[in-house]
Amino acid sequence: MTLEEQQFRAELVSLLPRLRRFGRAITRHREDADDLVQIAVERALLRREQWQPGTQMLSWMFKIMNNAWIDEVRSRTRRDKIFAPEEAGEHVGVTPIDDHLDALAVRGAIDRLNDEQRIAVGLVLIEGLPYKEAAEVLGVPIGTVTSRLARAREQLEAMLSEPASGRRAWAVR
Amino acid sequence: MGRAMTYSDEMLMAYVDRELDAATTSSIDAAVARDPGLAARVERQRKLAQAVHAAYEPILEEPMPKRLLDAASGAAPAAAPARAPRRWSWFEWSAMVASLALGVAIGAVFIGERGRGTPDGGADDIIANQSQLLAQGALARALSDQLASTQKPDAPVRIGVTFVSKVGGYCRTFALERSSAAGLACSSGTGWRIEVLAQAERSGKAPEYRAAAGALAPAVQRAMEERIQGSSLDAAAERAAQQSGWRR
Repeated sequence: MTLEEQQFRAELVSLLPRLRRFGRAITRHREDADDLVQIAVERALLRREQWQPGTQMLSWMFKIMNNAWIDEVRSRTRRDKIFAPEEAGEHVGVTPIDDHLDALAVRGAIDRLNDEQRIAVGLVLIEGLPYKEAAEVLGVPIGTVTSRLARAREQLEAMLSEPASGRRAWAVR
Repeated sequence: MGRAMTYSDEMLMAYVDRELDAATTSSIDAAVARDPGLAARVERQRKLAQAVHAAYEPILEEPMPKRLLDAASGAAPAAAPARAPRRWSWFEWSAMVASLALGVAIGAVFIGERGRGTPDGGADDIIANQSQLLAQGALARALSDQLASTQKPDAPVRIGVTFVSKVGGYCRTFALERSSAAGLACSSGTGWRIEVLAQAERSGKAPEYRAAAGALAPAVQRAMEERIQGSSLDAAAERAAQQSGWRR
């Protein structure tokens, strides 16, 4: 292994926890997320020469993950097979948005956003990317990121303030 | 004072996300200060953003699956016996940092490849926990308790800058006198996660960090610039953060 490759791999390893977190937001499922990360890591290693040292490897990896999700992983996810809307979610507390929001409820609500909105939330709110970087990852104009985020937040607010009776069940992981 | 401007949710969102230019930001700051209704809308946005971030934060602490470590590190996927997280001495870290020539120490993938025959008698300041490095011992205590404004000049751990990261938690830079290393740690709710660890330049054998206590190693500086939200905390804010247990 060359020194260059060693450095590349070391940086990749250091990013793994964040890639998994973003993967969880994209796929909504632990194993699917890890599959996605693994595929992205393998692709990154194949295209190592495309990455320019000094640029953000994290954004580059998010981009690879987003593409891999769209063209490969999405169609064969485990998550939808185990989605059990009726029985899940009994344990989710009823918490108005102004109070403590428990993590399960929040993740459940994010899981119900559409792909575009969920991924925008993943990049900006979960991973903390500036809008501009998120737009670059997604290959869309910055205004598109802004409006996806705004719509996502509106829906999250609505979902998380729903009374218990009107609340749909959450997916279990 | 003119008629109060109305702000769209989208604009307030960008305000909360710190995406607006300085002029717009300060005009909203001022509007928020005089309009409780607007302040409440901003607070709602902020709470939601924080709740979303917090909901996914624990994923960073989960054990890293071996298949991902193998894929990324290029390690032979030979079955390795599971072992408890082991402590790395500073000697090992220094060796590793130097050998990677990165100035940045990385996760625990090299565990098991290193350390054979290396005396493990160094400082127990950091624990490698599969996917990440956690501060412990004297370093963890200093990160939690020590204030830059009151620390002794000869403290074994010197705290540098404290700031709030873009993802909402507190981060602090530190330097270790004994091992001439410096780094950046961020509060993870349960402890301090080491985000960056760098070795200070050495000339001869003497650690240089005492002299350079005020300066940051370039890797640490860079890591801080990437993460910082706003400016660093002053002494009063640092103290308040410490008293809140580093929770926001």
